[in-house]
Amino acid sequence: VRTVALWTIKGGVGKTAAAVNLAYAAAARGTRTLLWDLDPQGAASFYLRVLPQLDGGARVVVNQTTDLGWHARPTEFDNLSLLPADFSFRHLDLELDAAKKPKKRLAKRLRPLADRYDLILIDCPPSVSLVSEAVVRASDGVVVPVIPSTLSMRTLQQVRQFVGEYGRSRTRLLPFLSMVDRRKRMHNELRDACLADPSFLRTSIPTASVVERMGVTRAPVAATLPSQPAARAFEALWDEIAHELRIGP
Amino acid sequence: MYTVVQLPEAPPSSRIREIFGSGFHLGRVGTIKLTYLDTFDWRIAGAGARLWLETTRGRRVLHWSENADGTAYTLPVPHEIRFASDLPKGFLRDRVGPICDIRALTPMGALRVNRRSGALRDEDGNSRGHIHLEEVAILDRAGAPADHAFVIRVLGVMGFDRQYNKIVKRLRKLGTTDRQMEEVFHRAVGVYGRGVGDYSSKLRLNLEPDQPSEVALRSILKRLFANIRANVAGVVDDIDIEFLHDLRVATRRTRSALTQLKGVLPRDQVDRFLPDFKWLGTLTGPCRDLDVYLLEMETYRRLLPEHVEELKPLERAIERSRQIAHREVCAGLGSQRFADLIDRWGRFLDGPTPDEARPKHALQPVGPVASARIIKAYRRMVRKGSGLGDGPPAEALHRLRIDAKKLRYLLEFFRSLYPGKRMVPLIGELKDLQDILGGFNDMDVQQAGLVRFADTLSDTDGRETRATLIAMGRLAAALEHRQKEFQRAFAGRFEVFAGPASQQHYESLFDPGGPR
Repeated sequence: VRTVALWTIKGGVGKTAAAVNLAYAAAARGTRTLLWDLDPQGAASFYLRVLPQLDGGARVVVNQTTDLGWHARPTEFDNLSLLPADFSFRHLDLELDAAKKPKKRLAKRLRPLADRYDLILIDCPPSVSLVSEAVVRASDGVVVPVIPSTLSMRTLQQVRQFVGEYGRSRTRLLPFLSMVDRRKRMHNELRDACLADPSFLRTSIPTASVVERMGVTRAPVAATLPSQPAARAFEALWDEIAHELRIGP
Repeated sequence: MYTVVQLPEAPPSSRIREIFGSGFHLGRVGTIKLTYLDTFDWRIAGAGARLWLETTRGRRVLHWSENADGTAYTLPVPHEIRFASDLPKGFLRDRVGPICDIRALTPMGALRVNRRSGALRDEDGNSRGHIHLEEVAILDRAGAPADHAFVIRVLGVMGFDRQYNKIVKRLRKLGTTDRQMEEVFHRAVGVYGRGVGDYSSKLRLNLEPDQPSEVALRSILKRLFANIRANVAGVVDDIDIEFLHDLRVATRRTRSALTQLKGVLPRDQVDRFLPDFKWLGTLTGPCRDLDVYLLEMETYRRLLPEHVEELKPLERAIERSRQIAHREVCAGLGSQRFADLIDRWGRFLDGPTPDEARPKHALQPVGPVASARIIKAYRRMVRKGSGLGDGPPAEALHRLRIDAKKLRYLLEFFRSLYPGKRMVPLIGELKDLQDILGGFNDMDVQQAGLVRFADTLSDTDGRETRATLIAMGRLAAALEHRQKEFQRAFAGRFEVFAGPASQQHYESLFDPGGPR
């Protein structure tokens, strides 16, 4: 199993949309995928029509009494399960802090799932906290959405530093361009500047109304409109990530 | 929360809507080819589990379920899985490996499923359950539909128990909801011409002590005959090496039954078959020996971890010889002689014995006859094995090994005549002793084999061959060392087998008065 986190410090950059669409793309390739909605807002759960509620809440994530896999819900798509969010996740860092070796805890909780899934994709809350430390520590790759703006690129520097500090030596940082509007000159310029950095994934995700409409359709773009450029872009982005981290069914 | 309902036909869609209510959304359609897998002797079913392969658009996923109709563990597999050892390391291999061991996984039934997937959503649009409506075609070995069924699966989401239970109640009105996929499974197996548990290398007979000996012996021989025939196709197709092994065991047991139970079937008739069964044993011997070498390669590699590379030419040489030996086995099994043997032996077993040809023990109850033979075989072993001491000569151990086999066969033939509780420890003790005797003999045979392979290898010289020969020399030394260990272990095991407790056990259980 490979664990991949979708994380950035900045909100509103298309992180959850990417998590849901990438998870769907992976599952459609036959990869047994678990999407873990760790964001207390529960948007990923909402998109996949799963009630954002976890029996036992944040404690279940930290305490080692139950198997996390028991809480996974099937979605309406083959090979794709979801570990739902819970509003109590807003206190997850406090729960973690009370545990022994908190930074290693999430990795430990995921270990029993190794045989059941090929991919565990974590949709993290957009903040810096003990939770992000534990997630980065548990992950083989950290996928970071970056919108073409100076501020967002500064954020990437902070993320890079953080992953370098708290990740394992093999934790890969994989930034990609999100919400790119090709009609805007500044977007194009910044996009070229980003792609000059070889660590960036080559595929960028366009800003698209079909992605915004996910809140209405409550399904990944590719599940309802597979031929849309945004759907194709998420598939291509997933294939790049799968290649980089050697993830496959 | 998982329910499966199986119906002969698809219910009208209006009925489906009634059952699932207004929150029912029907989605994608897909076709799945489903193949049930098990070993020829049903080891997976015997362990209470099911293994099947689902193929959709070229994608292959193995499913493993330990509770009938329950949810399954799934594992995508990129290539064909013939043996448990082909599986990637992990949960499934840990489960399937010890069950199947070296037996191949073969198709035992197949389905083509047209699956419509749907969901049950609440007023907030969240999923409460997942539904599969499946048109199932049960396929024959040629892949053509031979039977059909309609299956409804409901997977409830946790926290929505009430809705789920309501739906299950309505489904129950359509049909029962217990072990529904099991029923489809058994039908699919039947279409493939098999039945769960229809083959086992074990004898599993139900003899009665007061049955005439002739009737009992015939039922033993018939079971063995069925096992010989059952394995022929698997030997020829070379599915796994156990087919040949089982065929040889059934042949050996047949010969042993005929020679050890004299005076039950007409002597002149039995004598006509013995040379043919002996021929069958000789025909299949070399191939089996080579199968054992290839199986042992893993042990050889462990014995000589630093010479793994050098052993490769040896393995290739064995594989080549094995190919030739297997072709010879196939030729023999395809020969007129074999066809005649099967035909004549089958007719003999089914045919009646004329009263005037009936030998003296034929009508005697089998109980006392069995006890007399067993106790005689046991006493002979005790006599021959006693006084061999700590370093028994190879020749004596070899003879004792043959005698042990004879006793073992007798115990297995007549097992059902005696209380199982008392038979199990006896067979266990004998088996422990046989492990030593067999191990000693194997080391002997394998060392001799190495000498033979050395001859074939040295035809092509070169440095590589020299290195291989040196490694083989070390291997022979290691085998000799192990042989000595078996030799030393003999005395201890024999003491248990022939000790006063065992003797008393045998004498009381196999009192020539016969089992009561």
